[in-house]
Amino acid sequence: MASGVAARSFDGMQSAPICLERVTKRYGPVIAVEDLSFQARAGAITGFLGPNGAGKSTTLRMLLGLANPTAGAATILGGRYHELDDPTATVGAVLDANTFHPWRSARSHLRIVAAAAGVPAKRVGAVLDEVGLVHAAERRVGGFSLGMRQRLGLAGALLGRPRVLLLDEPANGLDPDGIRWLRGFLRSYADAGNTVLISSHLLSEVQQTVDDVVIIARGRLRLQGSLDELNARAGRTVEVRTTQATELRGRLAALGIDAVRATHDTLTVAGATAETVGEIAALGGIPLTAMTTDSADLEALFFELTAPTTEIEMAA
Amino acid sequence: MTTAARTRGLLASEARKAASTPVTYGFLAAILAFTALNMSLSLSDTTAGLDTAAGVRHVFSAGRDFLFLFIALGAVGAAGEFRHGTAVPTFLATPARWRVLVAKLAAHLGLGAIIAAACVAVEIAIALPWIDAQGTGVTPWSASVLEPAIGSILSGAAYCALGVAVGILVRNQIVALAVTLGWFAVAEGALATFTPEVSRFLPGGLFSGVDNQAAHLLPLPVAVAVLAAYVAGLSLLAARTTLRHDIA
Repeated sequence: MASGVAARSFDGMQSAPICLERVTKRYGPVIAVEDLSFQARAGAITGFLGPNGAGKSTTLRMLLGLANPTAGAATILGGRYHELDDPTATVGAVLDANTFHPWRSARSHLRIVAAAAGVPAKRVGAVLDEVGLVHAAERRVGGFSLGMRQRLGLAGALLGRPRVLLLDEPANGLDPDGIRWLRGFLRSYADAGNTVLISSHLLSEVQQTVDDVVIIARGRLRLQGSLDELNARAGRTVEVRTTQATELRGRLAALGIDAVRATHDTLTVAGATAETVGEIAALGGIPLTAMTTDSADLEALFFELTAPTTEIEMAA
Repeated sequence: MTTAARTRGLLASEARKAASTPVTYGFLAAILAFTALNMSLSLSDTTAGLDTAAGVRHVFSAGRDFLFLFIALGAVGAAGEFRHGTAVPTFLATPARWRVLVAKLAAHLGLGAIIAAACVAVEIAIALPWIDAQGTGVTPWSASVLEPAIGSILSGAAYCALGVAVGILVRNQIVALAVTLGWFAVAEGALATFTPEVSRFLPGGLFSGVDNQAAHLLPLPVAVAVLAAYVAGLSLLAARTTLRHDIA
């Protein structure tokens, strides 16, 4: 872990559905992942963040048994992937949008996966419906857009009704409607008590979706915590406009939340989320005419955390 | 889920893969076309001796020159998993990679047997009327027809499985094809020249042994057993080496 960065402790390492303990992966002289430990809890969406080449995909592949760690252990629900009794019913994963034979139809691809996984063929139609691909079920995957491939990958991941979802850059290629659909889908999936780990190289891409974040750079953990903790660390602010600015400022101050008057009808609130400010205003019957969140500081913190910190890293 | 049900599912999955891949149909068309062409050329040979059992047996061995296509079919099919990235969902559904290998071998044994049986049907459809027209009474169950046919089906199945082992071992379709063609077109020919007594035990010499039981070649059951040993040996090598590597 990077010095000075506190990792959030969950209920306990062993109870976390996804758990990495001091995992290292070397490819010859190249260290892709180094001494990486983190957990992802059930009932939450965890964003696995880092710049390109940080080791995110390698880490996910080690969790899924597709790559062997050089050292350490990557476990899901207490076991390594190949030790799981029914892997498809335990973990669903989308690693790449290009893991399909271009000549096969979407339905044919899913039937092949379902047969190998021991999943009834009737689940194929259900997952195609779930991801909104019924209309393209008989089309060859070679003609699919990137967004359609992402949806097909997700359909394959959902075949076994898994308790854990691992998605590598799932928003790639999705249009705004698709991204909104994905957010809603992942939220309801996590709210049902499942575990979701999604990787991204863009914090802004996932900050509206995730509850927790794990940030890595150059294969090393830089930060693990909740999004609220990250916000607090970034000094993120909420700007709120109201005709009763004085009254709202007083109510916020009563709860220990600092608010600075920016203009006669605008407050800048620090140390609280937009949801919290909105709730306080609603409880006081204070009408809000606008509310915005300043994400610049969060992005700045992300870049700060993922920037090279040593001369060796800078030279790499 | 029981082991038997899991195995059935895995076999069904591998069979569906082969049936939904264009390369399967491309090879099927090529093998049938070459078989028909070679059979026609053999029949038009005035020295074929179609009035003798040996001559008829030789004609029904027409497909043996194209058995390397069965290896190529298996190799391209297996290595295609890595080319198209389908190895990822395959090994996520079945983390025990050796089980995938065994299922793939079994599925291609069946595929090779089916294609070889189709070749035999083409040979019979072309040759029997031709031979009959020359006044030689030959039926599909005559020993001179049946024995080469059985040899063709067994060898087609085994060579297709051998191709799977090659494909899993090299994990690259182009390299798999190059290895297959290089072995049969160059390497084995050179070995046969310098060590002729060893030739009949080599993969290429074996298929001659399966199809054409001339005195100096291996009998059919021995040739099939040696071929099975090659399949098992290469599969074991693949399972111990490349199959353990990371899946990209």
